[in-house]
Amino acid sequence: MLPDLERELLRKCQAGNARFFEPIVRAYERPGMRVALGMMGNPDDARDALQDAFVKTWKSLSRFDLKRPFGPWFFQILRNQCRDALRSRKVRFQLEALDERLEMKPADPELGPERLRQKKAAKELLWSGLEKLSEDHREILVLKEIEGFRYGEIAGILNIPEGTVASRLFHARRALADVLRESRGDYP
Amino acid sequence: MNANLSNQVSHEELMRFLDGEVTPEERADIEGRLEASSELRREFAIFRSMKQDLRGLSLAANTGDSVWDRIRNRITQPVGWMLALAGFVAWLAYGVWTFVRSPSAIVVKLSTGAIVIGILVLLANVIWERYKEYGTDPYRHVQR
Repeated sequence: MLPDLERELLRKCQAGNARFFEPIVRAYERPGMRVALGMMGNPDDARDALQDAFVKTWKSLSRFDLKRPFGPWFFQILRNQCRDALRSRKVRFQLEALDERLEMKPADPELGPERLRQKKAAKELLWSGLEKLSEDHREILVLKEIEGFRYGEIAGILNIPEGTVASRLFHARRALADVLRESRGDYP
Repeated sequence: MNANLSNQVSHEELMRFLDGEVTPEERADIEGRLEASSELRREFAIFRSMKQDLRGLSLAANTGDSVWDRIRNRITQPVGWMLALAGFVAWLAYGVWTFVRSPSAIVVKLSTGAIVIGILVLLANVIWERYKEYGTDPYRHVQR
């Protein structure tokens, strides 16, 4: 969405016009779902967290500074919502992400059945590796690798300096590599 | 992975190089240092391979129906509910006051009062049970 259009919509939302919130929700629900899914591990809890994050965003909009970019602010709310949900002990990171309800990236039709099986096994290994990571490590990997945010954006979402982003990514990747090697000695 | 590797290229530099967050000058410098160390290249290869695998996990995030309908209900309905509830309470209070002051026999007043209170208690119980179960209802996302 164009920044000017987004700002105009948010201005109208701040005036209490709920219908102008719809395009904002529709623009951010897919990336939001990917982040929530990566953090929660299953679609139902991810969808709940996403909805709660949008409602909190709406309620906090009056305090939002329109000069700031909306995306990092929203993802910060979503990230906090996911963490709160995980800590409330009502939900925990549960691996249902490989469930058929999810639509993974379409498989390359050129790949043979053996290669497809290997790719599926690699994905399962990665998901189980992510499950074993700490929340800090998992969330930074989700933001970087699944959603593809740049360091500056991640720093804004997690409220940490950019240098810490690089450092935390290193430790997260190393922790994941260790976990994966424990699960499968020949990784990668 | 050897911790000494960080003497040649810091963790942060390696990550920024891997993620394409370096300037052209930094890139050339790190490439040179990678060239000089097979161990560093091996470590970098592991990170790069893992990065590619994680990218492959990228989900199409099939959310099914948009979450907008539910969000709209949650951000617009509270006003409606509050107005309806306020009107209901006012109407109930006026009804009770009129009924108590009416010339009906005391038996009629007591029995009518018991029926109304009983219905309200049952309704409140049903709403409370539904509210408690909602958080764990596995079918709450299923739409008719």
